[in-house]
Amino acid sequence: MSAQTPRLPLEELTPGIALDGALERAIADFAASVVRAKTVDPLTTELVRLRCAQIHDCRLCGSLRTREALDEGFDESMQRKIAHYENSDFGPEIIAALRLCDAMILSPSFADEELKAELERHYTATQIAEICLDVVKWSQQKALVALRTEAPPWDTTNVLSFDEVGNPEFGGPAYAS
Amino acid sequence: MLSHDTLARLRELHPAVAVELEKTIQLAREATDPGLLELCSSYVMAALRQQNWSPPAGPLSDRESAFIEFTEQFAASVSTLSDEQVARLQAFASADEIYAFVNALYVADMLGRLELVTRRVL
Repeated sequence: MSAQTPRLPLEELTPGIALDGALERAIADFAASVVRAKTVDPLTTELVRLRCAQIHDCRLCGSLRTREALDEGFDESMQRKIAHYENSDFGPEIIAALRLCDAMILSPSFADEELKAELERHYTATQIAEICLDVVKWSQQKALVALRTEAPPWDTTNVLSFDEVGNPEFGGPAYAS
Repeated sequence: MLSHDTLARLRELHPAVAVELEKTIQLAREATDPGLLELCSSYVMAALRQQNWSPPAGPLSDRESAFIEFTEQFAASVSTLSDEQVARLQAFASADEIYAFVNALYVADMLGRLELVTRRVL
C-alpha cells in the first residue's frame, strides 16, 4: 500500500460541478444498479472486487470486506490467495471469474475462446455479464487512485455493505480484535 | 463508447444496469471537453487492441500531449501514475476540469474494455 496524498487541492474542487456533479452521481447510480444485479454469489463477487483493488492499488477498497461475503465464510486466507490465484486451491469457477477480471483490467487480449468455454462451464451469460459489469463498477477506483483520493479514513479492515438501493455503507471493523 | 450490439446484449441480460450505463455514457460526454475525450478515447481503444496510435488530426498541442500522456498511464496502470503527470494537466485545466476529465476517462477506458471482452466471451 502506498502513502500517497491527494493530487488536486480539495479546496479548489467545487461541490456540484465535478465533485458530486451529474457525472459522478450517474456513476454512483450505475454502480448501485450493478450491486442490485446479484446473479453471482457473494464470495466470487468479493474476490473479483479485491482483485481489482490489488491491481489498481486502491487503498480504500483493499481495506474493506463485504458483509455478504463475510456471512458466506470469506476470510483473510482467501484474500492472501488472490494475488497468486492461478496456483491456488480456489475452485475452477472462481479461477475462471478471476481470469475474466484480469482480461478486463489487464488486457482484453486474455479474453479468448478458451476463456469463453471455461466461463460457460460455470456461469450463465447473465452471470458472465454481471462479472464484467462488476469489474467496470469496482474499477471506478481508477479515477480515485489516479487522483489519490482513495485513502481510507480508518486503519483497520472494515465492513462494506449496501442499502436496499445498492449504495455503499461502511460499518465498522470486519473482524473482532 | 459501446457498440449498438454490445448495448443490445447488455439490455437483454441486465436491463436495469444498461439504462444507468447509457445515462453515464451521455453524461461523460457532457462533463468534459468532448473533443479531448474523443482523442483520449481513441488512444485507449488503440492501446487495448494493442495497435499503434497516431493523432487523427496532425501534431498534438501541448495541452493534448499532456492529456494523452496522462491517458496512456491511466489505461496501462493507475497505480504508477505520478504526481508530475497530474501536475502537468494543471498547467492547462482547473481542478474541476481535471476531476471531470478523469471521471469521464474512467468511463471511456472501462467501457472500451467491456466492449472488447464481452464481444469475445458473451
